[in-house]
Amino acid sequence: MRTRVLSLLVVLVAWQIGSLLAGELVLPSPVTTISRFGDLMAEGRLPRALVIGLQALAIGGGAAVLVGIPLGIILGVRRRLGQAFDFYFSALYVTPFSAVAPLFVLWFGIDAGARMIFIFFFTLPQIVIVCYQGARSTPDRLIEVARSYQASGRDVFLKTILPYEVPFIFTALRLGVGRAVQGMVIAELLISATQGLGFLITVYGASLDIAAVLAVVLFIMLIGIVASLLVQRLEDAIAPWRHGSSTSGEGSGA
Amino acid sequence: MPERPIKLAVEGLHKTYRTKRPRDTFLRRLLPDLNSETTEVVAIEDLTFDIRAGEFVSIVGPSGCGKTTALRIMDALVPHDGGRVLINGTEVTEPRPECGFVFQDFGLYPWRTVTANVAFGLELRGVAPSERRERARQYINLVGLKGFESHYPHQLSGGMQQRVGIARTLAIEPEILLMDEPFGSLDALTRRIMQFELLRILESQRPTTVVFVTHDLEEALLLSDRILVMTRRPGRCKEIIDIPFDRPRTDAVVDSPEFLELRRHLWESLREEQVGVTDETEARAS
Amino acid sequence: MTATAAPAGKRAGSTTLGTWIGRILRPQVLSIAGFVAVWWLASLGQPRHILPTPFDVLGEIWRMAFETGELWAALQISVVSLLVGGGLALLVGVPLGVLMGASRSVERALDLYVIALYVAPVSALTPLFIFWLGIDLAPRVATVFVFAVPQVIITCFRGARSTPRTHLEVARAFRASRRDIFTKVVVPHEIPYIVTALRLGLGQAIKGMVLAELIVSTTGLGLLLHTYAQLFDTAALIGVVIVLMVLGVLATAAVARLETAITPWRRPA
Repeated sequence: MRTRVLSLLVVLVAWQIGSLLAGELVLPSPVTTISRFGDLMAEGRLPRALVIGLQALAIGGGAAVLVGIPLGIILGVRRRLGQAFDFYFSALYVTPFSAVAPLFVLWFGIDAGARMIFIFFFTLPQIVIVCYQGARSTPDRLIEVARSYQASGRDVFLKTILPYEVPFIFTALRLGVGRAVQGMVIAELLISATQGLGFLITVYGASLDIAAVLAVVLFIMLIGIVASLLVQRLEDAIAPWRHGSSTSGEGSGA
Repeated sequence: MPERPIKLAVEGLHKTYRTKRPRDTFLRRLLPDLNSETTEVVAIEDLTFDIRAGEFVSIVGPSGCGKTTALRIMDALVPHDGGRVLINGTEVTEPRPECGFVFQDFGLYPWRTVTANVAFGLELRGVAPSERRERARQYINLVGLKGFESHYPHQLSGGMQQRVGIARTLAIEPEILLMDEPFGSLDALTRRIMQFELLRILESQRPTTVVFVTHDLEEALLLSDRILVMTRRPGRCKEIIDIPFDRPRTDAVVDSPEFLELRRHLWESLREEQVGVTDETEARAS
Repeated sequence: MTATAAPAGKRAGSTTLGTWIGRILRPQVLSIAGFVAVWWLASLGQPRHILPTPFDVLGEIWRMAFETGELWAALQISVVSLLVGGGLALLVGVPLGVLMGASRSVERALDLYVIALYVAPVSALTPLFIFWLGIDLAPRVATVFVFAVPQVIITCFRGARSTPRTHLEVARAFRASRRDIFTKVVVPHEIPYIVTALRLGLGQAIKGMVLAELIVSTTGLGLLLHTYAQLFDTAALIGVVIVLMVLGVLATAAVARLETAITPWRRPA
């Protein structure tokens, strides 16, 4: 813990020194940034923008979860379907999806709906891929055990594949939340918002209020971190047996 | 057995084994597969014995009695808490050049070919490349792997991998060979073949002193001059049995009545200890 | 006790018509054909600026690539930021990741920031980069860098930390020095992870590149996308997007190939 506190202090001091050297206008000091953050919260602009962003996040990301989990499992269980469709999701996952943003603007406009759709498609592949891999990687041995007890196809699914899948679903949720927050920010930056966090950044950036921009940016990043940690906590609480299994779906897009 | 000098002495060895789970760091919370380090408590208490030059001594004992730990302590791979290990009369504080260790899971480097694996120890000792290739070739031939010099470990069967492991250790020409269940992960047939191979190889390398940890009683009987039986945890020396068979040993030894008699004695001696362990494990599990 | 080295040779002369049809009618091929067919049917009767037909899009890709050449020109501009930013990420990330894996105090000192960059939406930083660094190459390089570097660090960290205990123990039994353990055990074990870091980092870097271009949008692909969006030229827009996606997939696949080629000791998957 001491090392960590020390390293935090070092960064804060470096930030302070940097701001003294570069000037408050270019790099506002930590104190200025925090007080500006206080202003924004007090004025209610930041909370309002946050609510708008989180709405899009909840609807777009929630829809991705609702669609992605069953879709991933179905693709994993039905091998033929999986072979036919899995590469769409890995392609969506590895490609720079933000390139689609201008297209979405043409199709869906620039309001909250367009951003929700963007977040949906941004988050979906992550969730499908992890659930797909989970269902597909159910060890044959476990399925054989179930078969040897004359389990029906339905029982094999409900009592073997699905329980095996649970930790993967949580991994999908955790990674999906991160993805969705990133999607939200990209959507707000690219699908020209007239409200929301991205809009705040644009407006304050235009008026050269860098302390405000910094406050908003750091706040958004903090949200992303806290969200990931929260889901991790939830996961530890609900699926404690998963410790030690490597399901952190990194590099799963290949 | 004629009186030969004491090669390796273990005096009143103590070991208390605690593996603390490392505190969670943020990175490890995110990468759960790095998070699993098992907690295990193994203890050795007052273990004492001598091994004379050129002797082949096996250590057997119930699961978890600390026989592997004891072997590791002899090469200072694991620290100990009390007592001492002497090799050629001096206390062991770090891995000794006189010792060569053979690991149960082979411990081959997957990125090195057979030759490069066998040459590993020589390389660390600064032997010139041409000479270490030559010596590696010699030991690869000795263990019967001629023709596989440039294979990678994953291209070899388990038995062949352990042949590489043995060649790698012999290549540094150790006076003492410490072998930790070297054939434990092989199938029964391969294991038997490897046992006779080891006997053959050692005939050509004598006098090499060997300490051999195993849980296979027949293996211990077939290979050893003496067998040390350890008690259940905390591990101590329960008894030391002399094995009278002449060398070189053949298949016939296994079928002799003496062999069967010794095996029964060993088995009973071990069962007493193992029963206690089993009870303990079950008690802890419930 | 046989070597499993000799790969099963491909049976010669088996390319009959039947196997060819079987090879062509793979699920993926069928599914792509189906996708294009559905797209084509959906686009019938739609105005071109809403949903162009697949053939419109192909025509646009052809035009941009081979008639005007604007696609390559834009790509050339964009790739500079990818190479510089990605290269920097490797240069900084690999040693940092290995160091964090090798030393617990370095890990404790830096893990907060690595995780923060890894899970936080770093795209929010691009407007700041524009403010600090202008609208030229620098903010794009910086974006590519912050996209790629946490991935690189974490992959290398994972590699260094996952050095099997027996590998270290063998080295100690053979009396290897700390330096020998590092150069002969930790580093060779790390190499495949570095290539993996390259692959995952490249994927991230491409995403960062495109995003930065879209936000900065004064040159390269970003400008191209913007221009066609302003012109409501949906076919060209989809064309650019498809080319980007294909390039992204190809680049990642190429590095994946490299990954298996560079580490012959790994059991073929």
